[in-house]
Amino acid sequence: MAEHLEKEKHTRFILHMLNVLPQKYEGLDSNKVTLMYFLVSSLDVLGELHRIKEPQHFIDYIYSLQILPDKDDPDKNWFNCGWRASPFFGNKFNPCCEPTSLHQHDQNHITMIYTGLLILRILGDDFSKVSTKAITRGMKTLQLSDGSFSCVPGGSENDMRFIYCACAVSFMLNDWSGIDQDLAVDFILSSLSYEGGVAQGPYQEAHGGSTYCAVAALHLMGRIDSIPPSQKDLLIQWCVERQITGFQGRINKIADTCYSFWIGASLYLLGHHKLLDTAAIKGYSISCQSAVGGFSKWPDANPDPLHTYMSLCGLSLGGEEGLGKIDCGIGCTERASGAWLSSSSR
Amino acid sequence: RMTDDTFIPFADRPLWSDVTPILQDEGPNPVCPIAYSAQFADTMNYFRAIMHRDEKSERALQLTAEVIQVNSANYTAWYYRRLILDALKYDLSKELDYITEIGRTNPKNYQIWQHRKVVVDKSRNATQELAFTASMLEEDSKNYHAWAHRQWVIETFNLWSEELNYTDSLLRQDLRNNSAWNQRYFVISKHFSLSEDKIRDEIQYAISYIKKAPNNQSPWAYLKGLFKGRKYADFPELKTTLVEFKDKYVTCPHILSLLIDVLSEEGGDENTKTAKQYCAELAERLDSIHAKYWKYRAQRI
Repeated sequence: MAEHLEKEKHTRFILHMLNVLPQKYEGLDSNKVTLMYFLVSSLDVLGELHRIKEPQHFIDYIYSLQILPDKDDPDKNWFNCGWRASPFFGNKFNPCCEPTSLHQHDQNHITMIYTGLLILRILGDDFSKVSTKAITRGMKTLQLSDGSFSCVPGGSENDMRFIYCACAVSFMLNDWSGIDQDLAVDFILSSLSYEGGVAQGPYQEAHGGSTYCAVAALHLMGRIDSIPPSQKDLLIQWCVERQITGFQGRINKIADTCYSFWIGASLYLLGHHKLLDTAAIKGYSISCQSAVGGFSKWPDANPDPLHTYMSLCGLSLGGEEGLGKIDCGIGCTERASGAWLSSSSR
Repeated sequence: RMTDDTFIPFADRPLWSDVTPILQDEGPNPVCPIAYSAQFADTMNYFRAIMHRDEKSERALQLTAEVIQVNSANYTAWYYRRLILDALKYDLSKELDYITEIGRTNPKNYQIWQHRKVVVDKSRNATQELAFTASMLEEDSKNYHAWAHRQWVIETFNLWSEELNYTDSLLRQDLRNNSAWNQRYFVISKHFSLSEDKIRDEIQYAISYIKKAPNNQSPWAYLKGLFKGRKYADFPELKTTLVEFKDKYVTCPHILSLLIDVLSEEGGDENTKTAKQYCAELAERLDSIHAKYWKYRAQRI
């Protein structure tokens, strides 16, 4: 069992997945762009993006998933404008984003806009084919009266994840007309639990994932200071206390590598990543490194793209040599962020 | 997931003979292709066809169930299913049975819990919900979706009366179940408005659980949470108890942690000095993985 980071093994694991995803990934067909983002961004963190032989194929594929306004009646599907998870609706491959007829049931999903845009950015695309106005207009239909966001039009679950996606998309497009920021901030603040961390919604249990989404959303909106100072102190303490060797996502749960990013990045954005024991983070993550490449959530489990990506990001935050620095607010390397750079300076 | 052995290709089903399947178009250079099974591809081909013609029939409803079987996370399948349920004025009690059956085998699927919420809301029938969430929590006592659904049901249908007892029964089984502690906080906040009487009761409750397992962080977080918007000084018995615990449970970091908060509120030179000593003890001995935090904390006192 290696005690150091085996970068080449991870690169091969990722390239293998980019080549073909096994049948068991059928259940992620409706989350495919997100899956691709974990893989592509991981390669970027590893400094191995050049191993993708045909990046233009990726760019074309992602652009073909953009949902544009209907060519004859742009108001007909305005609420669906945005991005698909995969071609499962049966839309024709349209990488040039040519005007086309759109169907009323061809649904936008806000997470796919977020991860789709990030893939484009990482691969060096300039967003010239992105229909910003259509996206921000479609986004409006997703925000609820309590300030939270659902993810698809026509009704879905609503929680902290999608506020983050909406903020990240708005930040990337430099257009905040799709969000009522005050309402969003209200929802976030009302989701701070008695423990100090942030839950998926008011009165739910404080959780590492929702804490990241809340903190990063506030950061991107430039509204971190809306957290009252005493609450901020509690939040910092809650995050630090989630480190048990690796990190747990909630009090009394077992450690899981993905929280090395969710919690690590939250603390980074709050200015206090240095309060963590980085040697212990590395020790736990490396114990979850798979012999075939990739990382799993805990030792001796199967590796997957999400935990691979999150573990690499968590290690990078801890200062691991040979990994790209992470823009914690947006969710890609600083190299990819470039001029956008959302993270506060270290 | 294995291909269902009872699966009949759609081309062999007379009911579907009038429908032309629509294939997925991945373009000339597919990226990250998923190795779909024949069942998956076939089912999706017909689902695409049905959606494109906006058909909302019995057979379409059954088809959404087959899509859900191959990919229960396909949000468009759930959305479309709901359109059909409306169009057919489908019996929602039957739908509740369906979603219950699917929910048991997919306990962490967001779309299934959301669909359940919609069905319960539309039918205004919450009679099964406490029992259902309780049975899901028996399988996994910290299932986040189950707790969220339970909170929604309780609030929407005013089902508060037994909830504190329910959390108590869970805590007797596992006093480290942080979700149950959180649920307790939910009830005393929303139903009891954090009244002073209730707070006093809950302080005693938390302390009783601390005595059972002093290193269990949940009751400590809960205890601290009870003081939101209140002063430790208003409950002097807390400090007395903490000082007593400090000498009794010598390896427990949470006692010193809370004492630091209490002393910081009290203020004064002696207290500041003591609090900083506690920070040092935590950093060096009792909570060394968080050493950097305690050193930082000491500077801020």
